[in-house]
Amino acid sequence: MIARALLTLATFAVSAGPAAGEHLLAGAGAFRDGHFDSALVEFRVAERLGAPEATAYAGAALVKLGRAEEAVEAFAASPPGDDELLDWYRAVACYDAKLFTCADRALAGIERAGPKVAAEVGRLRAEIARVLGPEPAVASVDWYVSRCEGRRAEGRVVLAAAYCREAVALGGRRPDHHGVARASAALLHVEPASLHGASR
Amino acid sequence: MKTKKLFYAGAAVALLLSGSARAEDTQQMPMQPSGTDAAHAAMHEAMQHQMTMPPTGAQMPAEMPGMSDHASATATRAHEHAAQVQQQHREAARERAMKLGAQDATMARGGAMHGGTMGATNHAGTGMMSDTGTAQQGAGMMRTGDMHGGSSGMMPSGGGMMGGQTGGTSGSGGGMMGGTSTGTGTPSTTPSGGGTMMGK
Repeated sequence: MIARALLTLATFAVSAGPAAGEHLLAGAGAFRDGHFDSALVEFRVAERLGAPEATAYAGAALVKLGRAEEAVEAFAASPPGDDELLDWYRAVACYDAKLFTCADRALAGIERAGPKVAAEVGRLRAEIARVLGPEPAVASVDWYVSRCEGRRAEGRVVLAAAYCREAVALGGRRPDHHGVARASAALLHVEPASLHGASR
Repeated sequence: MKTKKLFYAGAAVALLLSGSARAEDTQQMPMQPSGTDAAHAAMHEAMQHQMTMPPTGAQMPAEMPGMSDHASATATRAHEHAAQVQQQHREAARERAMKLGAQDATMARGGAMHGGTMGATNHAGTGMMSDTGTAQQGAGMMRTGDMHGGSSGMMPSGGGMMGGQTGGTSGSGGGMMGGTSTGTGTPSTTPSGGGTMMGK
């Protein structure tokens, strides 16, 4: 009798456990089954309930949904280097947003990956090397500076900073350093805010 | 003894109830480590399961700021098409002018002009048009530089040009001019004949 009462109480205690965990697990299940929109909803709810890792998981779901810029913003909330798989999705988010040097940096940080991840990392880095091989055109650098300024005007400082950093990196690879000064100046305005997580 | 058991049971129940209440209170707090680990493990497995290479063939954005890739490609095609059409119009006008000029020259010389001459002129003119007369072919000649060679050969000496029937614009022109002068109607097959007549 007493044992049954204890069991009932224990079950109640466990079922009333952290709701954020339930949403994270539900999101993980949906993600695994390819229901990325449902996974995103679950991760967003878990995020609201206080699960810090939910933001990066939402970023992974956004990558799979093809929403690269939003994914870049989501990944900005968590530092790279904690999880090689999350860093892979972070790199893909950058790559899909045409932030090639950003993607390459994320991939370069993946050192403890298993064989499957390592192989994919190698392939994607080779692809990025192909894209970054030729000297960047003036129009390309201008495109990044323009994106930076546009996203800054929209208040999306994380994205603005990412595009400006890309412009600085690409412009610096040209002999005339085209666009570097302009992008650096814009970066001064957006980077402090982006570092403090004001993502939108 | 029984009292002691009841006491322990009561204490356990109280602890469980207290724990349950605390769990409810802390739903907004970050997850407990065990819950985090379970969700992280599930998500880790899900991310690995869904890991795919992004589509290769990426290119550096090189369009004008704010212009999409598709719009840029369309604009480039439209520009090329417009240039091609313009070139074709120029070539057609040039050939019309050459034909009319040749006819005018014939008319000006014309005391000895008779029906055969006109027939030959027309024949030669038609031959020219059929050889090089389409705008498309004219544009192609300009691109390869044949037209320049033909023109320059044609201008300094009509006689030299006459021999050019073997190829290109100068040959056609030569045939036409020769035909006009001789009035035989078969100018294009006798390169030297045209030259002789022009020399007279």
